[in-house]
Amino acid sequence: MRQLVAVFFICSSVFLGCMTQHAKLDGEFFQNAGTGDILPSELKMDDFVLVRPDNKDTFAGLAARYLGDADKGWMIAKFNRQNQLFPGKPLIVPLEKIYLGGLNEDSYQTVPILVYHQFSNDYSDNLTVKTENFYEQMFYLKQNGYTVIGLDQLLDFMEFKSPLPEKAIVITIDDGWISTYEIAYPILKKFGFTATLFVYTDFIEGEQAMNWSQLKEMAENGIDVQSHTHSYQSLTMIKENESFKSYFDFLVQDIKNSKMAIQHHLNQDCRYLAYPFGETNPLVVSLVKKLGFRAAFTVSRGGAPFFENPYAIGRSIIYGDFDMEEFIKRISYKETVTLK
Amino acid sequence: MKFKKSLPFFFLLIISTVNGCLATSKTNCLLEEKEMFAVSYHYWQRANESETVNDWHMAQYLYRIAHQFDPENKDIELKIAFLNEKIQTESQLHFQRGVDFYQHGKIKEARQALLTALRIDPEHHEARIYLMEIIQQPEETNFKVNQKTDLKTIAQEFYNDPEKSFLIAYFNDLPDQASPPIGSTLKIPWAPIQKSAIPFDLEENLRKARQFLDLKRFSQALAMTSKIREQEPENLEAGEIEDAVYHQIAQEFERFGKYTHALNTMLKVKSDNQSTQSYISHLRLMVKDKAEKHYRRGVRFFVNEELEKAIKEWERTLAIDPTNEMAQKDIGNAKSLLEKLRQIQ
Repeated sequence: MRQLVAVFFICSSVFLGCMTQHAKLDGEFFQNAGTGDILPSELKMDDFVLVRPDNKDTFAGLAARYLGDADKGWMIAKFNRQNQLFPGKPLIVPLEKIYLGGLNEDSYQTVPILVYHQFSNDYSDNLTVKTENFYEQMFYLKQNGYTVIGLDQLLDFMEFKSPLPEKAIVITIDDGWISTYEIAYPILKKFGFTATLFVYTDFIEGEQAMNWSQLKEMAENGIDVQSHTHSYQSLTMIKENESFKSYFDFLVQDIKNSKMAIQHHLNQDCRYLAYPFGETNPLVVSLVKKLGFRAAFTVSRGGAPFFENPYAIGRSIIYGDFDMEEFIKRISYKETVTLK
Repeated sequence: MKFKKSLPFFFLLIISTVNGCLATSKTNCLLEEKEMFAVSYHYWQRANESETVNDWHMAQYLYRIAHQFDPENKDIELKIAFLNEKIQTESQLHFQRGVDFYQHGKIKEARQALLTALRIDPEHHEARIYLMEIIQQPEETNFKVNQKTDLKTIAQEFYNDPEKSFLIAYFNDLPDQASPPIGSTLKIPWAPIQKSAIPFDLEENLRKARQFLDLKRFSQALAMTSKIREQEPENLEAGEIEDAVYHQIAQEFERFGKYTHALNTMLKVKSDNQSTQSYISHLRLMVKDKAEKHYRRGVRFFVNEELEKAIKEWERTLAIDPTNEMAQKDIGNAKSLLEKLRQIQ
């Protein structure tokens, strides 16, 4: 009798062991996406995931699945020192916070932020860049491995929450000229680049400006639209015979109106501001914070390290007479300094 | 004896249970045992590389990965513990140096030391706070209310102007006439000194005028130069900026075919150099040409007996070129003809 009991126990435990193994295989290692396809096997640990990708996988897809952000595919590639995925070859998806701030022993990362204004097929002047030059500049960024990012990604980097690819860059276009829609937008689309448009809302629908439906179309296609105030007047100059109270009321209204117009017409949040003429002062910064902006931008030349004041982030103006040499000077992505 | 008899069964029981547990070991689903050692060795090697270039945080992470594939390896465990200690000590050392530099006003050196602390230990929270919040001067001052007071008194204290109390009210979500509760902390924003109190700074104003010119904000550039001229009527640089503004405005007008406006703007340019003169001559020709086009169009309307349209075209001609005698004469003729026709009708 005792022997029978023992045999029963043995059989049960062997059976349980096998069942556990199958449960793991079916439930955890091979997940079904609902398409009937078998996803790559995975092993989730505390600070990394080991995956064996299949031939449908991409770095972006893995990043979306495990890091919650397809834009972080570069992290998986960099960590595994691979430029491409090899189906069947296991790789590691790092869950640890690495590469934050782009800090190295001999440098730290700076993110170049470019500012354009107008574009023209026929001529260039101070703030008007010729179509062919803009195309050449975008081509250079693509050919040389730059990753064009949006402001949310930039701010995640600056808040030390998330790293950026080494050659991350931001493209901004100010004011809201029609040439942004007619010339710059098709070129950006061709290269698959995003950009942030800082528009002053009083100008929109004007004779030489974009209209709201054009802005909406661009916003729906990955272009970010943010505030350059309503009337594009200096936020730091108190006019002659103007009281301090009316100067302050003007500040509040001019910033608020643009934010509300963008939110109303584009049905999106407006969280970034470019100061007219790049000019600001501590009162304007306090107000911009109070009105719920996450960051604000000047036109001081130079890239942004993560520890830059988020309410005075510099941008480099790309002038119409720039040759490629001048352009390349504006897209430096690291600052040499000893950090040891 | 009974125990001895049961021993093989217990042995089998243990083996089978262990088999069940092993089956749950995740790694053997993805990797075979020999692969696991290879992976562990791969990450151990990479950890070594990172350690050699003093990237201890990455090295420690890579050792941790290696350890997951070879959990029995005591050497890796020791490495992880050693690096943990090293990261903590070294980052704290650099952080302290950063704080010392900061307290002695050496901001650049402080930043470098704090960045080093963060490079070594990205989770060094205090180093991050110092870098991102303390070194960057805050825009506002905090004021703790210790006694019964009102916003006007506080505004007087901070701005020397009780009328600025509305600013404190706005930034602290208080009514204008509020008496802030004792013990509360108020944000006191910075306020600019009123213009009249600022001494005139020629260089700064010239810089701004040039910046406005670069940004094509012509009216603001001219406002700056006129302010400079109030102080220094003969300032040459302000004059050059004004000429450049007029030149650029004229070019903009020309681009849109507004030749008369362009010409009138260029006539404000004070410098009398050759390029100015030749541009003015060019614009005069363009004005004549445009006036001529309107005149000819008027003639065509006249021939087609469209007298009102003809008059309008000749009026346009005169608006562009008031000296056009033909247009003056033809308008007179057309008007009298029109009058006669009306009388007949």
